[in-house]
Amino acid sequence: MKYFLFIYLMFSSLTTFADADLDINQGWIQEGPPNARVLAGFMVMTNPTSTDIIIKSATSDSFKRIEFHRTLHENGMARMRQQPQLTIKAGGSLTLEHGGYHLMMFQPASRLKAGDQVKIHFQLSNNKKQSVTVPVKTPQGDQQGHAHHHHH
Amino acid sequence: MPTDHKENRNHHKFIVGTAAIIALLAGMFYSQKGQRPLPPPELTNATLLSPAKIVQPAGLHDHNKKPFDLKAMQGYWSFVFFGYTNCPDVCPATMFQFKTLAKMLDSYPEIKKQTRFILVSIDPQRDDASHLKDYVEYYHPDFIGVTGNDKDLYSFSRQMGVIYQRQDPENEAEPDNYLVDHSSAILMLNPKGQLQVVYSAPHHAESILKDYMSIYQYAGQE
Repeated sequence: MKYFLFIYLMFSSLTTFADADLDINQGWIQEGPPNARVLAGFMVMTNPTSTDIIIKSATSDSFKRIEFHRTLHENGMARMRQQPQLTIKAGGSLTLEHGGYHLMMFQPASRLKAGDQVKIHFQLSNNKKQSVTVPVKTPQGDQQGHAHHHHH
Repeated sequence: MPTDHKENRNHHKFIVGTAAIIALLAGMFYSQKGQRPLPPPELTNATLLSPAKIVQPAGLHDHNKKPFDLKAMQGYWSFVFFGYTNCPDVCPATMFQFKTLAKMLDSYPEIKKQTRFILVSIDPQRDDASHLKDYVEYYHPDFIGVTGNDKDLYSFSRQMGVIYQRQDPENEAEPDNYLVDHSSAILMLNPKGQLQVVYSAPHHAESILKDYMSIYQYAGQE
């Protein structure tokens, strides 16, 4: 009976852990000028669970600090505002994109170029953690869908 | 009957007189604007200012520390964006649209020769000339960075119809970490150095190019 309970607990905790996972896709960081002090990170975060997931913070060895920001376009003005956390609704998704929510990534530890990979750690609500590795890219043929897709 | 006839004649005189005045006014109107009555181009995301607005920059310099004055603004069609290099989202996105536009203009060398791209940094505390130089040249070796002191930048931005506002630092321990709200429009100076076009956000290189070509051809017909 004790053994059975142990198996049950282990299994249930595994399930809970799997439930907490966000599906993170289409992640990328836009390559910047060599002296860029900030870069922006973008991705699509989907929450397949039946509970809202809150991302409390993000860190990466490649940056001094990461904040959540949102760009607002109002009356011809572009305003950026820091967001204390990101909420991905149960069964919903949150897109981090140009002109909307994004990761504001401060002071790259070294020059990041297209093709580099950056590992980002997210601290979720309830002390859960999740990591994702995203590439550094230039936006060519990525977001804009230009007619010519050649790379140099 | 004779009275009717006379009234008719007076009526004619009135019509002819009115027509003459309208013609005169129209002539004055067009000669004043220096334009023939051509239909203005149909634009998707741009607003053509007619007449163009005279602007007088003072005290500004480019990324090579050369004065950026009225003379420096003349001789080209200049795309101008007001931003700052610590801006991670809107400014890199706009600089990338500039880069894409410059690449598209490679197919139109005659127009490309007369076109420039300028980033005006409204954050002189963090963006000095050499920092701006490395920043703009990453996007394109021909791009131009412009800045100056707060007073002169404010004056130039107001003349260009641009607003910006520095926010307080998020954290007092890091006074250099602050955001700047700014207008998202791209402005265009004509070869006389006058404000001629306002391109509204969101910016897409394809539609900007289309509007620019229409305006360029329209201006060329004068």
